[in-house]
Amino acid sequence: MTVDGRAKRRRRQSYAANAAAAALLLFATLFAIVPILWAVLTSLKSPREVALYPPTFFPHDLTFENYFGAVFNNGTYLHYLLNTAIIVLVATCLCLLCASHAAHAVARYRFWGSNVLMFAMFSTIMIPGVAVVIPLYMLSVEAGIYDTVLVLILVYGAWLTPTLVWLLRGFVIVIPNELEEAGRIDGYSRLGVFYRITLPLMKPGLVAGAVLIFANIWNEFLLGYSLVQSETARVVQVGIYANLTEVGVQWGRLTAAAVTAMVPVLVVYAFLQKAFVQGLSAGAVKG
Amino acid sequence: MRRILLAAMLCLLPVLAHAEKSLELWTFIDPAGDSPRSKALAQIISAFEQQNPDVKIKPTIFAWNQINLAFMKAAQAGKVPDVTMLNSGRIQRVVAANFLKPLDDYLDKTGQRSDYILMPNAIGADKKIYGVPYEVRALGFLYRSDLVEKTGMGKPRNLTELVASAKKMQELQGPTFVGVGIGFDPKQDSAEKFYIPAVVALGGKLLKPDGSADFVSPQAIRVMNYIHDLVQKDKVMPLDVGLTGPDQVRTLDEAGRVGYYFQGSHWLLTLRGKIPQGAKMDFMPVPLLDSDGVQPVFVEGWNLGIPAAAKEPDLAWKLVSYWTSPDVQIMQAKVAGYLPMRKSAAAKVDPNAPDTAHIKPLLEVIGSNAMNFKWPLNTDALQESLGVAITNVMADKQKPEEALREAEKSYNSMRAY
Repeated sequence: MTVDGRAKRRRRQSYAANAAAAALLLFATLFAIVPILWAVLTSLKSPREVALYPPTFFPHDLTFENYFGAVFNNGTYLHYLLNTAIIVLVATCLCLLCASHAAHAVARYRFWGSNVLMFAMFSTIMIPGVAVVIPLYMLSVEAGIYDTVLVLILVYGAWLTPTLVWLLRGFVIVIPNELEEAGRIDGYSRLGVFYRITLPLMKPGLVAGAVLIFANIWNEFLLGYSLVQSETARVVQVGIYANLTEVGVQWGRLTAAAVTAMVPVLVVYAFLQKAFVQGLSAGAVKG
Repeated sequence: MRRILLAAMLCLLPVLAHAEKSLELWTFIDPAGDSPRSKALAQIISAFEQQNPDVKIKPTIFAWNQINLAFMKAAQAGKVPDVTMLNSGRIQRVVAANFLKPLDDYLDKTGQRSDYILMPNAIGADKKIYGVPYEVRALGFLYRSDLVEKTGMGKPRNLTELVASAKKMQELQGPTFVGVGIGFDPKQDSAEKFYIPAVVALGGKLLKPDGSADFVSPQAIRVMNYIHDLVQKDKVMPLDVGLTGPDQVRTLDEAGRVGYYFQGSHWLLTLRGKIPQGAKMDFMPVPLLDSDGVQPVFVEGWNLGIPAAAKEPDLAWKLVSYWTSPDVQIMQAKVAGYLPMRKSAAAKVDPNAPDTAHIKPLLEVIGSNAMNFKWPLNTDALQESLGVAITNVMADKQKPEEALREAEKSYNSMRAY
């Protein structure tokens, strides 16, 4: 085969590979977006149109009645949103506070049993939520905090801290040890070094971690459903489930509530997207 | 100073005297909703609050299939409401756990205990009553009476005639019409409700005296074959319809696309308001398989229970008592389509009015031919094991006997949990 022929063949292979990659990406994008698009369009249809067979893709008569009924005129739903916002904010702060200290400790200090401790902590990441629901329920009952906002804050905080420690550990490791040593020579205590030197350098990781924790807690259903009953402490994802009513699933209202619940996560992600991606990739360099 | 304090306390007295009491009600019906049942509940709450100006009812809404479980969790934690709705097919588990207060003393005080239609599952091992239904419903077919007329075949007298009638309807309405719609999804609360009365009507049994499964019998195989033929031989029920649940079949029914829809009588008025213009709907109990007549009717109803740890049990009973009074029961029947759970209510309704004409005959059927089936502790296990067997037979994946043997094993392994 001539040089030209080989080059043409290589170019053809490259085109084919690019086309295959593009097709795969397109499929993956559609796979992720179509259900969300379907939910948005369903939320804009009247109850009668939602039940039509064959179904319509775009709403014939655009209506916002589902949003008014399920969200804006529904004080209970707005209360669930507020509960979730409080839980997410406090639990995220709690996670960041504990995880940043713990990540620094596991990255910098070696002490007797530290490996076992790290293994024990990181192994909890692998335990599925469903396996701990009953023990958590019993524990919360015993502690007298069942059916409160506090139980969710504590449980989410404890549940996600190891993941965050694992993530932040990567950031601490890439910070040169010499910086901390210089701080110690300047007279800072260990904690002083951590607060004045290490923590500010961990900022991208903290932002990435905060977004990750925020999205995880905001979208969580199982624990929110299992540890809280009353409307006073109910979270938004469980509130959406209430659209499964005695007259069947109220698809229009349910999708309106679900679409609204997506907004805070999208907004947070949109604002912090750059920092989030930077943070994740920065932490991924070493670990 | 002492005088000032005394005066302040005197001023506060009327305020304290009128302090509002709150009564927490756990419900799966949202009183703020726009369904007929929501409207009926809103009316009950509003009227009760007017009669008791110092009482405010605080409803907490749950999904209908989650309220029993939610109550069990809350009762274990000691955080209970004052009154809760509980599903009649599953209340026995709550009763066995001693989470409810016996209502016998309250019922005896009314002097009208015999007027109440009570659910066997709400009666504990100690023979005490732990729940009073606020409505009853008979399970049967909601059928398109206009199409029955069109076919010229008359109302079916047995299940064979019902298939013939459904076939004729399909011929008249076209290929997308579903002759018979019964949702057998094992995960939903339906399969057992058609299956068990049909087996019992043929003289079959489901459970041994020790509570273990006794599913394989000639009667059970007969019913399995009937369900199989609906899908595979007579083709009056598409397989995808049979595999879904009752709620999904209802959306088809609302669109006027089902001839015979298996559901509770409480849906009659609501569906009449939803089906296409010109269509007519009526309710009939499930006919017998082998001969003319009616099967024992599956009766169920949502109960009102007062938790053992309720803070205001007497006030809670006041609400239950008001809710189950004959006049409120008649209002509920008219607004929401329920059947009244007070026998005396039947005599008070107009037998010719379109919204109440079905009440008297159905209460008579319930009174004379209700299926006497005491649910085991684990209703979900029974529902799921039978549902899986039925769907496998429908889909031609298993022969009835094989499916029932597997269902027996499955039920016996799950029933203790």
